[in-house]
Amino acid sequence: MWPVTRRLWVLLALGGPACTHRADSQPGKSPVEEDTGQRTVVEPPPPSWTAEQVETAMIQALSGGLPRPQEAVDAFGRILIAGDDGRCPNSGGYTITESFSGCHSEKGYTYAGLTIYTDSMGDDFSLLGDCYVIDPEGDIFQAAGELERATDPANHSFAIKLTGTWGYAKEQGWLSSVPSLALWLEGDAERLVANGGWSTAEAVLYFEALESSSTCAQSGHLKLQDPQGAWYSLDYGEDCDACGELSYAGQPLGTACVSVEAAAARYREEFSL
Amino acid sequence: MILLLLACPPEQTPPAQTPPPTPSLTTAADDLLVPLPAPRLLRRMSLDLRGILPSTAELDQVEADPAALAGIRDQYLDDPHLEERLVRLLAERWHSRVDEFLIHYDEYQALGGSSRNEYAFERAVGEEPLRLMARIVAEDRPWTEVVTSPTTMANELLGQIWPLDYPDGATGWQEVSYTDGRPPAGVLATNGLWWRYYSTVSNYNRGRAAALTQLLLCEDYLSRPVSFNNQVALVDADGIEEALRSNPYCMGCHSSLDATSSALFGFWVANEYNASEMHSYHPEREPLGSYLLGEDPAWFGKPLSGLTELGAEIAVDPRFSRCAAESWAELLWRRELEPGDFNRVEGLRRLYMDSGRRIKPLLRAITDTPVYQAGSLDAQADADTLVVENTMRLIDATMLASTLENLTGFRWTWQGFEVLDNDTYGFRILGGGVDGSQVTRPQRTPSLTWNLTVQRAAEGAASVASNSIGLSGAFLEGAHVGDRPGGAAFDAEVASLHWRLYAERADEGWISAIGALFTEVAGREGEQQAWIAVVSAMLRDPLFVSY
Repeated sequence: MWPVTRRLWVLLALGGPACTHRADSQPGKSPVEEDTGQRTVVEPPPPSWTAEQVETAMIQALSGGLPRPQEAVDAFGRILIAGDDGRCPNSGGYTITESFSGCHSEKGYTYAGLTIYTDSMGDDFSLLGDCYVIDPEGDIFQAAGELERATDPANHSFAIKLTGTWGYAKEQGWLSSVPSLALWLEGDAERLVANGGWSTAEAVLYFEALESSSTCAQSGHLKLQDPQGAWYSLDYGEDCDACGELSYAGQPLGTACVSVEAAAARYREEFSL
Repeated sequence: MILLLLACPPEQTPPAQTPPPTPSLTTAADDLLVPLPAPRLLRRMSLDLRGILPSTAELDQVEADPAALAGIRDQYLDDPHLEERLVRLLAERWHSRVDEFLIHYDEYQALGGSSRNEYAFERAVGEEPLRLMARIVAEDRPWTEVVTSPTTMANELLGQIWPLDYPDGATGWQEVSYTDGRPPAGVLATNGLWWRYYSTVSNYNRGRAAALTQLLLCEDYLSRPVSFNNQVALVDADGIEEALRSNPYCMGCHSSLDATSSALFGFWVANEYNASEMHSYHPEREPLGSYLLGEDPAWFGKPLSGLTELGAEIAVDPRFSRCAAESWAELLWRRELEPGDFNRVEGLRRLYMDSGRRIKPLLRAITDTPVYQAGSLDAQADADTLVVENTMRLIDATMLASTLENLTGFRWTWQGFEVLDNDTYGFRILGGGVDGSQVTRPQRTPSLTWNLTVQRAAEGAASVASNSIGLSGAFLEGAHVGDRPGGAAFDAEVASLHWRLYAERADEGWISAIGALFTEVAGREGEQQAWIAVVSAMLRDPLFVSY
């Protein structure tokens, strides 16, 4: 805690802007540098992609569908079995408890860190990971973060969470690119709402209240980041079709059509009861 | 009283109002400060700016011509030791040289094979942001680069484990870039800073936002008064989040804090104990603040597009330049600022602005201030001045280590740890230093543990020095076997050491006393042990361990 005198001094120093009508009346410069309130805008570079290129990149990024947590859990189970020599890893189901430096199984696998797996009714589960596995060829299975699937049979709804870094180059689908994820999906047989996204070496994708339902193919925003770190945003608008206004740094860039309906429909079918 | 002071006056043209005092680096109170003699002042500058003692030649020069001091100080500002010293100095404020992070060295397969990597790992991580700042100062670049630079600093250890373009085959600290697409934002885009100021999953970077506000603006959210009314439900996470967004008592801080936090989500991790999550930037999480916090990124009301704009906004914030002057003054004055310093600091801020926002001119000006140069107080000084001013500084464990190594080659290590620079197996805190976690300010006055630490270090350094008596370039190069107290050679050597170590000339009484010590020990344990006793005693002398 600062001494009272010091806090008073800081208050006095910061009190300047509240009395700015006096600054102009003082001869010479104000002893305190004035905050002009002007926003410092860092001008983004010109867009490196055209609307067509962004559209193509978005379609490509979505071509594998939406990540499913069950695929990661299944893949993790396979690699636990693949290297298990009865002593290493120290596991019970999908839960393992190894040191930071890990154990080295006779089959050539290294298991390091912790996972905690819990399941409940039906197919609901949670897998917390702070773990990696190195296979005999040196490829790494990353299990860092949380995968969660929760369903509500009474309301025929589901909530999915994928956060962290999960993947293994030798797997198929989304796991093969070892994405960094922060994705929340919820819905029921009729609708799916996505917030968050994922990034791989190829693409950075983000859903902002993106909704797809049986009556409205898509609404909300789909965003993509280019290699320079700038975001392109596709606003689906209110007309529910796959096309929308594409913008870059707040400026219109054109129109793009990227359907999320098929990916969403697969998800809705799988998780609805 | 405070309200009265803060209240705005009626908006009217004041008749013939007295203009505000012109900011100046000196004040009337400076008359109470008595400056150090020039050689001792040179010693202080050398220790503060280089972490080592001045050479005998430099002392001789200043003794003959005190006006030479400024020129030598300017040379110190271009000295190769400056950058390393600034790392230690900045650590006292940024607190990132901690002994433990949430990520342990052996979570990396590349490092786990040897426990000797532990200390190197901890220091490399914690020094990353400090070394970027130190490099910017050493190369006399604008201080604003601290929050806008596209580069960072890394050594070969970090180059091995983090996504960096560290050159193949290189060694040592290099200015490099991350390869994971993180925005250019200087220290705000360094792992080292955010590993020290980590966020739990549910804290959503709020602690980090508070830290950067304190470090870069000198504004501490924690110093604000907090009141709760009895309607705030703080019993569960949802209740807290709701209160932070809607309750005026909470919003007083969180309206700006959460918006700043929102710009940091590329560093928000799903598991703060996982190395892969922690060392990687996560671009897909950049927009998450709006979703998880309900706040779009902003800097005290100004919207931001992201981390790049956050750095740029901080760089031009008037509080940033004021804080630069405040924080560097505190570091070199070795004391907290007081209300009476307002005008001094304002003078420093203007100098900083007028010199292209560079720190070297600021360091030059600070070391010219009477506050910095004070060695004692005038007899007229009152008790308050005595409490505030730090006229005699204490060498702490970290400075002791650099000084002794430079003098004698002595490095005190254990299991790969620098004993005077860590608290896992060492005595950094006990020796008066800052660990950045439990102790956040350097010790100002001697203590028992500080004394014991100095004693052991002095003995070690003396022992190392005694192995090279009479060798060219060695600490005891002027000593020779067979020299005896009372003889011209011995007396000249100890007088020379006195000058070198203390920047004060020895008097006959001291030479006689140290000679008696030498004779006593030499008679019992031999000449080498006698030199160890002499050097050890000199390195524990108050004239050596203060500056």
